[in-house]
Amino acid sequence: MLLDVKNLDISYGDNPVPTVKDVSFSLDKGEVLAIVGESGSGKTTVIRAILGVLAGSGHVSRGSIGLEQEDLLQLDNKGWLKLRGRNISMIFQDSGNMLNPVQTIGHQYIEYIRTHAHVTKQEARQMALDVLRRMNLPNPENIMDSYTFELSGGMRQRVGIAMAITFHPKLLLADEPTSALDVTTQAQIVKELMNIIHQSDAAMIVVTHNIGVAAYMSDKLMVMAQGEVKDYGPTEAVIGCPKDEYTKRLLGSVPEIGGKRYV
Amino acid sequence: MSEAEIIMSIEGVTKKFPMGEGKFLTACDNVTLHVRKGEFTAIVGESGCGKTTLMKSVMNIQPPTEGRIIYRGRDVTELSGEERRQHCRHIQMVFQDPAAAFNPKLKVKEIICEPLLNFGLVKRSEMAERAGQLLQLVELPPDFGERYPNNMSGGQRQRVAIARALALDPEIIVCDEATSALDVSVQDTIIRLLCRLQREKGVTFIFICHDLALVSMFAHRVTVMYLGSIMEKLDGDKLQEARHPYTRALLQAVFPVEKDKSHVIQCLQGEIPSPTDMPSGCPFQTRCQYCQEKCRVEKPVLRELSDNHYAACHFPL
Repeated sequence: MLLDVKNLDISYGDNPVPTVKDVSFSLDKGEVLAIVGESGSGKTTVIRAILGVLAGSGHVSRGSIGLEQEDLLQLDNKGWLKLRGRNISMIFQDSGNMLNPVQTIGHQYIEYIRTHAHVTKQEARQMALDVLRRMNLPNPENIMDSYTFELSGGMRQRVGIAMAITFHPKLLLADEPTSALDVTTQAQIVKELMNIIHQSDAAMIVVTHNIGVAAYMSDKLMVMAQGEVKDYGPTEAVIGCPKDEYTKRLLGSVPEIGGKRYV
Repeated sequence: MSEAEIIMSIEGVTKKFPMGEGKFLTACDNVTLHVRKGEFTAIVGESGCGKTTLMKSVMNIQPPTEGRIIYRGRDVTELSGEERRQHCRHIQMVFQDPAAAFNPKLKVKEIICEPLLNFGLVKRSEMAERAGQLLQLVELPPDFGERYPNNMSGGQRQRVAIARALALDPEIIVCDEATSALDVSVQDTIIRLLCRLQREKGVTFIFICHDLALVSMFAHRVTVMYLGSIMEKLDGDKLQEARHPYTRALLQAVFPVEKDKSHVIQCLQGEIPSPTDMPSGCPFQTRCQYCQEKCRVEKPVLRELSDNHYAACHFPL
């Protein structure tokens, strides 16, 4: 088992009532877990806790997070630094916002690689170019010399994914990786993420509000609402026969081509 | 489906923005579209396809470079002064982000009654009562009038936006991505509300959206745009009979909820070309897998394929 999360409670500040309550799941190598839910359901909070980057006064108040038998909650700063960006990495909703707009992508990419590995600038640049090429980005040299605002949303997202997979992480966390994209670009990015999972044995947790994307990508599906897990299990089972009323309502309100019509 | 009366016709609307150095960005290219009374007319397309620019012309916010928009026998792009102000009574708009669409210092009742006050249709003393009626129409409790927009949820705010649009009893309501900022379950309730208003009050809706699956639930007519041009026009219940390669691609890019192994997600190659240097010929040629020599040379015009079904393609599928 790669990742084992048990009875996780997450609280903000001194609030005695946890924001996220009793979340448990496990993930094997090569598996994809999708967490779906509406805004404010706590889905992003869960993956932020796994990366140890909860916003503000957020902290884990109960439970455990184990990555390959190592308890992540016991890590000190040094331990986290070793882990983040190498063993666990994150793909954000808009990778343009993750990057500094006044530095070239190449500058930041090389800095990122050299923070985590002892290589020269030339070696780092070569590594970066190789990964960008793997992400089907045309003209990687050009991209390294560009600023974020010069790229389209789809290209920025590919750069973000490329950076996240540079060190072949064991666990990829993707926070709404396609929500800022158009439908045709979304389809491209989803397919590329699936290729990465098939080619490596990385596991992935994808947080999304698009239930169609979640169903397509995931082996396991978790439905969250108001900080609680409403449904959890193999994707086919959760979608085929949802146990919880909320899940049924959520699935019922997803628009589908050739589905119900109101007029 | 019986043919309803055409209440607005957009005829050959072209909008070009100057880019300097004699270059132009063509946001809308010769768009012709008819809006029928009491129907949902949906305009679908990806970002940068010109759908919002087209609506700005309809709303008389931005005059088009060429073309006419005929409403009640008048070209609305030529209206000015008091005539233009009166025109606003008949066409109202609901915006994408309800949080940004209101003055945060006004109470909900003031927001809803502002258009009525502008046209002198309500006295200040009657405001609370009138706002209450409008709130009930959008299924909110009447006492919401005393609240401020920032202590409401996104769905409630969008209902207030709809109530404000309804205040003047307009003939047409333009919704620009009105549900894109909402969660799916909230989106579903808003769509049901719009359908109820369309049924009960006979309001005509122009619904701008990027989500073809959502539109397939309620639109009577669907217009698909790409890079400023109309690619295909068809009836909302016949979306699956689409014959333009771009519409097909949009349909195939929707991820279904049921894990159906037979549904293959097809990807378009590449990205939308920049509207500043549009390819000559078909706008979609750079991403179309069926592209042939003719497509690179000659821009296809909208042709009628069958009843109410038009496509701008030399080789419809």
